Amino acid sequence: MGREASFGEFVRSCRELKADGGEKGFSLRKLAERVGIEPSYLSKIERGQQPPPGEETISRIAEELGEDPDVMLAMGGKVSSDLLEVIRSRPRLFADLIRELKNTPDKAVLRLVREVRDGEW
Amino acid sequence: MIELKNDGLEFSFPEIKEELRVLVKKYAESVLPSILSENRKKVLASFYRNRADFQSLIDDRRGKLKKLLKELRAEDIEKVILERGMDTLPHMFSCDVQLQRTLRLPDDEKTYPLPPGLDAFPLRHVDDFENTVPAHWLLRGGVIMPMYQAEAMWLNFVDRYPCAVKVGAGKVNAISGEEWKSGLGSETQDYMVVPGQPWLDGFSVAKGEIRQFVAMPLGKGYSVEEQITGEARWGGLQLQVYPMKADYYFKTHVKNKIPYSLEPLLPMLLPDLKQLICYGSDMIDFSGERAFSESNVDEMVLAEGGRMQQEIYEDPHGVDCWDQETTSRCFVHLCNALDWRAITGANPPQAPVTAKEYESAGLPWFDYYRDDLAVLEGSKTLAELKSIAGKDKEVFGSTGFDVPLGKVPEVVTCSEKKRPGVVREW
Repeated sequence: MGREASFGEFVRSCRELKADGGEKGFSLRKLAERVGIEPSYLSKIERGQQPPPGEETISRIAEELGEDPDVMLAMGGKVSSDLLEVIRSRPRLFADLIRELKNTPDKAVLRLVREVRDGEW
Repeated sequence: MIELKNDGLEFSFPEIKEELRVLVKKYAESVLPSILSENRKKVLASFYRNRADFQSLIDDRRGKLKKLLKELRAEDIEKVILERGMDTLPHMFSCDVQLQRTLRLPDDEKTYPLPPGLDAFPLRHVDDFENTVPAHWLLRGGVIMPMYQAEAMWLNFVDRYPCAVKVGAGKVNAISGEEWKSGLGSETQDYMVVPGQPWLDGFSVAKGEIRQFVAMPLGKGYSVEEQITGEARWGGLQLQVYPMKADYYFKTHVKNKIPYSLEPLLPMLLPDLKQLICYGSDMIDFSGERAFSESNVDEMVLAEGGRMQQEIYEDPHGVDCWDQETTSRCFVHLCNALDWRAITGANPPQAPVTAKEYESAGLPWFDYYRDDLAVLEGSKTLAELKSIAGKDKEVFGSTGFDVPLGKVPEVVTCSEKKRPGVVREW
């Protein structure tokens, strides 16, 4: 399955889950209206006939569906601009750090600590 | 080691945990021979006598229990003693210090109850702002924290392991009024003990009375540091935490909870026992008891504000029980909140609520009460200093900031029993 299809399927399944659960405003048309895109465009995204939209639109879809925007951006093959900025500011440090941590279990990553340094006084 | 956690400083002592593990192990090894030499038949008989729930065991179950007991090995017993010992240890070997925003009390010579906590001050590693903080801050290490001029604060202690806590303001001890020195004062107690002391709101000036910690710019002559040393050198707030010695903690908190004979160990030694005495769905619970100079940053320092009722308790353990070699300390640099954005890029906290506004909202004030600990006399040195209002009067002939309060609306009395480890709230 291509990225377009899996991203689209995820959006559709989240939307339908809400609609099936009795929540109002999660028809294709209503959701598209709130996100600020054409219903036909959202429909194509959901069917994998269009690549995932831009960061801003993905974040708005995530917000409307109550999903984590970082997770949804990742599914659309994107990284949020604030994270990119963090990496760009210290590219070597963060590139090394991310590579170093790529196979580290979640628990160990969460345990990364930073000591408060004492000095001369 | 010290970490920034939950808007506070967590002083933790993993080395103490390791020492206690070793002590528990040694203890288990020392009691094992006498446990092994016990007559198991007698132990079982006594167990039946003392535990009414076992007396009705039918014969074949009694037989099974006897067989299990007979087959117990030394390593099984040692393992259970160790487990029981480890279970009595705290989950965390730490003491958190949170710096709470609060109301500035009127500095009008009346004595007030304790003001509320209005959220924790933000703290950041000084190392993260090497281009925007004074160079000498980087030398001292620690963290930075924003305070408005004339804003007040108090310290909230969250204990998970007994510790002695020393607090300095501009390197003047807030309890003794002496200049900061290493170690704990043995002649004059210059530290607080947690658990026991839940909070510290200011400088200890008399028995049961403090003067509120209030931030003023360093170099203007208001601070305790400047009045005592005649210099505006250090500023900031200093914290040092000493954990209780592992062997003292073992003797007072752990040893008496570890069984040194076989009978109390039986429920843990014989896991099948649960099934043996399972009556329908009624299981018997064997879980047991668990137990800057060149920079433009305005440096702030603490001065004496209004009077407040607060007791500083005497150390009930004695100075020798604190591990003065295993200690962690932190320099909290205080910057003017108006400089916070220039230093960190983040918005500073909102301007503090005034006592008058708080009073108008009809919100409560606090008192803390316990009668099981002796109370320290205040520091004469600190009592003789001029408060901010006193200094203003001396210099300008009038007091600057204060709006007198009417009647304090409601005082909530907190006690160790009623509200353990809770930040003042309502």
